[in-house]
Amino acid sequence: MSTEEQSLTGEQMNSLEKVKKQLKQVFGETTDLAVEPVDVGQYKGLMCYLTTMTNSAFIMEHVVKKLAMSEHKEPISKEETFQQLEISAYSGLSHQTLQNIDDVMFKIVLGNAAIFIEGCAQVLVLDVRTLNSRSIEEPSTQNVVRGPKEGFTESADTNMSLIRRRFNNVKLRFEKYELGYLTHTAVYMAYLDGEVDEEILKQVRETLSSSHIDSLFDSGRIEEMFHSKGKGIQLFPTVYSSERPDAVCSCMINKRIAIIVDGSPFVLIVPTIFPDFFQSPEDEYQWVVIGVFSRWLRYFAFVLSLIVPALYIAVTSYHQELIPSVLLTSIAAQREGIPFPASIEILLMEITFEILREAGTRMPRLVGPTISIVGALVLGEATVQAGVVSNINVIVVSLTAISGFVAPIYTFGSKVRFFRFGLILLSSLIGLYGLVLGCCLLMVQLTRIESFGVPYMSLFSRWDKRRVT
Amino acid sequence: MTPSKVNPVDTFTLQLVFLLSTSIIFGTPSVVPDSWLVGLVAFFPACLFIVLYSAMLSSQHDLGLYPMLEKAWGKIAGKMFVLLYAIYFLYIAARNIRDMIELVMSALLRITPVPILTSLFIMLIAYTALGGIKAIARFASLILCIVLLMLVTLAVFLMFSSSIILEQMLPFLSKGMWPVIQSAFTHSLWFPYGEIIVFLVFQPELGGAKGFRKITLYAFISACIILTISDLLQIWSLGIESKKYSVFALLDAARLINIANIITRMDAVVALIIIFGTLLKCSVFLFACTEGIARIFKVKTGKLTFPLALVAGAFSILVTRNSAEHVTEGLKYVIYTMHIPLQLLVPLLTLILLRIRYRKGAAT
Repeated sequence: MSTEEQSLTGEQMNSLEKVKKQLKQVFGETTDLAVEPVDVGQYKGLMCYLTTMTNSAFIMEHVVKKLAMSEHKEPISKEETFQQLEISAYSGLSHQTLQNIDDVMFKIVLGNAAIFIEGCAQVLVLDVRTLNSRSIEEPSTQNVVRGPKEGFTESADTNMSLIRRRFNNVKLRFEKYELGYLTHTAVYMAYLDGEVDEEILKQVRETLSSSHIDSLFDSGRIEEMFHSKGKGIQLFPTVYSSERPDAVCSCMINKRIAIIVDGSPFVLIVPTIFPDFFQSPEDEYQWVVIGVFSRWLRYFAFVLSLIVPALYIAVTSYHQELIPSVLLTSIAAQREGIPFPASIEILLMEITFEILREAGTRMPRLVGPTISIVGALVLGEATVQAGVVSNINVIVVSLTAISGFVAPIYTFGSKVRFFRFGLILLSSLIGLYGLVLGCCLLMVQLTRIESFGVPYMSLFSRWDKRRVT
Repeated sequence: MTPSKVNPVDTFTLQLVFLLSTSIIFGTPSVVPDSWLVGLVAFFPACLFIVLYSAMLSSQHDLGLYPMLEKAWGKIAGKMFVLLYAIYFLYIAARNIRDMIELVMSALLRITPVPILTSLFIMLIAYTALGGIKAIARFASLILCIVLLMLVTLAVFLMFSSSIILEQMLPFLSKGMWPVIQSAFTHSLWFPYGEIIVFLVFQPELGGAKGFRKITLYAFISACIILTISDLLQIWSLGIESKKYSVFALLDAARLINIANIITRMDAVVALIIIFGTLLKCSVFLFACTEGIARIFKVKTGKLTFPLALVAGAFSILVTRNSAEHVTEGLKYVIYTMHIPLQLLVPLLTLILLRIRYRKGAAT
């Protein structure tokens, strides 16, 4: 009986040797685990942390110096020592007292330092995480001429502070979730309490907490998760992502929820509606007329990038009567001697452009000029001179290409670009009728989608009296 | 950002586009000289439809058309009427598809086989109808903007190509008021205004009797104004005589546009208006039809949409042999055998039955 009791208390009282053994069992031979014997007051102790999650100067400065507790000359008990540590020595650091060894291990992985005291059941866990991260820089997408130049970084803490310092408001809430059963990536949901619709909040929470993914390295994964939650096929992106804190904050003012993923500089916004993708944060910082003008210009360019090649094919190969005669003659003269029909000609050049674009985004920066020379001179100039494609074709394709990049959000442009091929196919099969049907399909799809129950595109919603926004 | 409800403005645009869509080109029969007056005259009796239908709705606490019929006529007869209405809606959808295909055949594609055109179109209709009435309403607001924009463009271009001659509308009332009134009562009243009965099916979702009364009145007024303006445009540019003999008068008017030899052929624009409008109208009818059929045979609505769309498409090809027969059938037989009984008589009888069977105070 007594021996049993002793062994039981022995288990609870973490003897340092046992702790060492357990650590070795769990962490194996990993080189970045530091297990160092320290003196805690008058007792022996053990401090362990991952060297890769903190830096030694921080540990020296804030942890080790205070451990000795030199001010206590008279002997005190272990429990008292522990309390002293907790209350006075580390009151400035975020700390926790844990009993379960598994919890402690997990905390160590997250970048905490654990301090064991010989024979004491409790373990003090200190947050000593100091990670090197990119400093705040200007965002690489979504550039503005006028407006704040800060962009989000890969560190979620930095990102949250970027948001918090724009809202000096007690209602701003951050909720933490852990996603990925292999990576335990921290995901934060930020919203203004009382502003956001409860129903939407519930749905987002449910999605985040019921995910079964193994790893999470970028917010793109969560974007897909939210996107696939909607019913039916969704051709348009329903989640907005931004690298700009001011854009995210202005969305949050409008009753949206921001989702910050540790390790990704792109913060997601839900729910998203269609006009969001045509809004640049800069629009709000300028004279209102310029803002409105550029927004409409973006819509126009979007329509242009979708239908121009298809329209060209439909009109030149089916409905020549719709072209003014002078233009028709000029097109016909240019197409003289071109071996391909208009649809093949367009497809050829569109695919060439897609290849150029793909090469341009993926290649190392140093070889950049090569691609532009080959693209501009060889493919543009030479194909026309060689009589493979006509001049007007090059105009059509380049106009489409430029308008395709006008949308301030790159992901939107890249998704929408594919619809162009569908329209080209339809219009080369049945002319203008096919083009109109294709456009109708896109419009129906646009109005059918709902993002967390909010209609994706609703022209007159601003005149709805019941709307709270 | 709040989850969606049906917006009253969207309901309004839905009804407006529904009223405009095909009637903007086929609407007013050109057999009488002052056809633009027909639309105006027909508006006033058309308001009686609003009174009748909203009385039906308010007497039954905003029940939809189908449950209302079953309640008034009993289980079996009620089901028969539901089936009748479902088939009626499908038939109108088929006729509208045919109208649109006729136009596309004459304006855009002359030699493409009709089944190809139709089958592509019905797939689109089915897809639209699958979205439900909320999505259709939002789609309608998009369509309304495009259609109105195109109509204004047409008017402005006609003006700039100096095709609008106001004298063309003379002689005014050369045969007196009677032919106008007669035509209003035999044609325009039933189509497009009477077809609004299809909205009784969705009215519980769209705001009930109260919403119906107000929104539909606004929709009727706007539709009346727009149709009259479009008729006037056609008469001013084509003249009374050529409008009389033209099948697609708006299309012929658009052909007159010529601005500096650059903007010449605008008929494609008219074809676009028609395709958009017909798509919307047919999907409303198809959706109403699937609701009815699903109610009778107790199937899921989504499962029926594509098969019924196929039926509508096949029907649109088989219903008449040629364009002339199609137009005559539409102007004469359909009105007397289908529109008048199903838009006026059956609803009226239903209302009376409901009033008798469920008196005020009795449990409904």
